Amino acid sequence: MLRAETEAGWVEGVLEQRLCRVAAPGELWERVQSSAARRPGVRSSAQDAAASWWRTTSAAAAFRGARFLESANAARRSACVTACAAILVVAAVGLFHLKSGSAAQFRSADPGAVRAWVLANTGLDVPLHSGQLVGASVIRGRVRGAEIAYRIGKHDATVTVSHAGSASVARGALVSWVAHGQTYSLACDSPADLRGCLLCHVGS
Amino acid sequence: MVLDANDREVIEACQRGDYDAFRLLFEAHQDRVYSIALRYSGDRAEAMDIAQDTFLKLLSSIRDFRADSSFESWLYRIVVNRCLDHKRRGRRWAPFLEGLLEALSAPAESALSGLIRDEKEQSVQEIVAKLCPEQRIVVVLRYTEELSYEQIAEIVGCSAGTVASRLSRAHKVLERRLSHLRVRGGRDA
Repeated sequence: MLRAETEAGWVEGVLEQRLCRVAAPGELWERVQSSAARRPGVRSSAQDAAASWWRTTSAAAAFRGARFLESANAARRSACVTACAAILVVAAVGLFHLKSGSAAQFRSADPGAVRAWVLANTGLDVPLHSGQLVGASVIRGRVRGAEIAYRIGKHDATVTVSHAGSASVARGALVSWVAHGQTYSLACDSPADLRGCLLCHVGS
Repeated sequence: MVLDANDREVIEACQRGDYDAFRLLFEAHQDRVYSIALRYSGDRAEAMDIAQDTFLKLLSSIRDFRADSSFESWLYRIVVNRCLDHKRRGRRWAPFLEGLLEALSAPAESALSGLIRDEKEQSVQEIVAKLCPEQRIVVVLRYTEELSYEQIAEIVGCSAGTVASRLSRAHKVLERRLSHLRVRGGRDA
C-alpha cells in the first residue's frame, strides 16, 4: 500500500509540474474575432446591439434638427426648415434600413474587432485609429462600402470607405481622399470638429 | 464559483450582444481555455483550434446561460465537449519544430537547456495525449485546473467515484510511460 501511494505521489508530482496552466498566444483573439465576424448567427447578435446605437443616433439627429428649428430666427426659417427636413429624412432612412434589415451593422470600440468585421463583410481592409470609435455598418447596393462611425466630442462623425474607382458612396461628405486603393469620405454633423478628424484620417 | 456583480454585468452585456463585453470575457478566460485544450491535445495548433471553437460556441450560446448557475462550470463543459469532439490531425512534427523555434529565440537561457526543458514538457503532454479521452480529460481538469473530484464529476457528467477510478487507471498507465522522467528519491528530473 505504501509503495502504491509513493508511486501515485510521484506521478502526481510530475503531472502537477508539467501540466500547469499556460498563457494563451496573442493571436488567439485575432482568430476568434475574425471567425466571429464571418458567422451569421454571431453577427446577428452584434447587429441587435448595433441597431439600438443606430436608433439612438438617428433619434438624436432628429432631436437636434427640431431644436435647431425652434431656435432659428424668422428670417432664416425657410432655410432651416429645408435643412431640418433633410436631417429628419436621413434619420427616417436609417430607421427604415434597420427595420428592413438591409444593412449589416456592428458595434464595438475595439479598432481590431471593427477592422476584422469590415474586412470579413466588405473585403475592405481599413486601418483604424483608436479614438471614440462606435462601430461600423455595411453599405449595400450598386457600390459596396463600409461606414465607420465615430463620436467626436458631442458630435457623430462617419468615415465612408469604398474601393477607389467605384462611384462615391458618400453623400454629403465634406472631405474625400484616396489612399491604399480605397476612397475615404469624411462627414460630421459639426464641420468645425472635422479638423480633429483630419489629423488622424487624411493621408493615412 | 458564484459570479460577482462585475462578472454578472459583463455576462449580461455579452448576452445583449455587446462585443466589448465578449472581449472582457475572452481575456478573463483565455488562458484557462487554451491550457485545457493544449494539455488535452498535446499540440499547440490543435489547441488553438479547440480554443477558437470554444469561444465561438460561447459567443453563439451565451444567451442560453442562466445567471443562477456557475459560469465557470458552463464554460468548462463547453471546452470539454470541444476537446472530446475534436478529431486529432496528423501534426507529428509541428510541436517539435515550434518548440525548437521557441527555444532558439529564448534569450534568458541557453537554447539547449530550453530545448531540453520543452522536450520534457512536450514528452509529458504527448504521453498524456495518448490516454483514452475519458481518462485524459479527467487528468487535465485535475492537474491543469486543480479541480476537485466533485467539480470534475459535475463537468464531465459522471459520479465522483467514476472520476477517482479513471484517475487511478490513468496514474497506472502514466507511471509506466513516464518512468524515464523518474530519478531516485521519487523526484522527477
